Amino acid sequence: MATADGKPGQDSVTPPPVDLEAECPVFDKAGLLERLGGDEDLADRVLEVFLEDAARQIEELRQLGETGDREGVARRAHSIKSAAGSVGATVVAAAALDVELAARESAADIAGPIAVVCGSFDRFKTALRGQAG
Amino acid sequence: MKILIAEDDATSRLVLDLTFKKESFETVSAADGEVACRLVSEDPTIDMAVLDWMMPVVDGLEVCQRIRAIRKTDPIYVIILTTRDEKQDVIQGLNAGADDYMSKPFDRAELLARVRVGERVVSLQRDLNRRIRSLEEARDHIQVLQEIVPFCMHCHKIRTDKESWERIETYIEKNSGTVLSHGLCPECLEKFYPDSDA
Repeated sequence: MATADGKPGQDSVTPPPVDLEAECPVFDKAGLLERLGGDEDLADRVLEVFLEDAARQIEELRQLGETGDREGVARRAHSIKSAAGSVGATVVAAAALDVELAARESAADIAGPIAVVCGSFDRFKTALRGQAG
Repeated sequence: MKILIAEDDATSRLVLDLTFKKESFETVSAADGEVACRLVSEDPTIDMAVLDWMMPVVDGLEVCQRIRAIRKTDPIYVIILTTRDEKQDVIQGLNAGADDYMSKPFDRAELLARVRVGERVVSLQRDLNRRIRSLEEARDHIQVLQEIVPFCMHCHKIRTDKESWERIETYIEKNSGTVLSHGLCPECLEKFYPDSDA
């Protein structure tokens, strides 16, 4: 927890926020291609499925978060993490991991981490469009 | 070689499916553990299963245990593929009956190398099972012969089903495939070759 002057508070046990994008790329295309034996067509098919499926799962995650179903949030976040990891959406995977861990801590905020997942997915889509263009 | 993929996440399932098909493996997929178990029950040609741990309805570890119960004599090679990568998770997965364990996201070369190991194990197991069945059949055949074969009480020739008489060694060689080798027991040595020093 930061104080008004922006410095960490003495009573805070929350670690400083991690800059996910600084630690890993938004889209690890090389990793995805490596998993598919370098086949660009297969990569396109996988990404198509991911974009559709992840959009649905992230919407479900958001709704579960609103209802306070922490177990449901943890399960959905786990699934998103797995899918995102498979396609090289590393930032989405890392954000989903944060949600999963937070949901398993009874007192931890989950709304914030869920919003980060939504934002990271948008950035992933932007990155994909950038590569396609 | 047919691989069952049990994975609830559609994207991961597709990546695995494409990865295996690209290497000419046949695949069947299940989106939850219950379906995975049903597929194993219905399809005896499944050789290997790649199971996600955390799946709805029935999780990967229980699927593994059920697969072991379903296929006792012709086991399936099971690889647990999961994001759970703590040492304790690996131990728990292997103790549940898995043959191998890998973390996600997977490295393609490593996964395929592990699948090849499984392929070799399955092949050895199948070959062993075939040999055991063959030996059991031969044993049963010999037991049947022993039960029904009449032989001469003096010369020990055996009466064949063609009503002829054959020397016992000829008969055994013909009917069991066993090759007999002549020898000399100590009693016969003494009886027939009393002057021998051997």
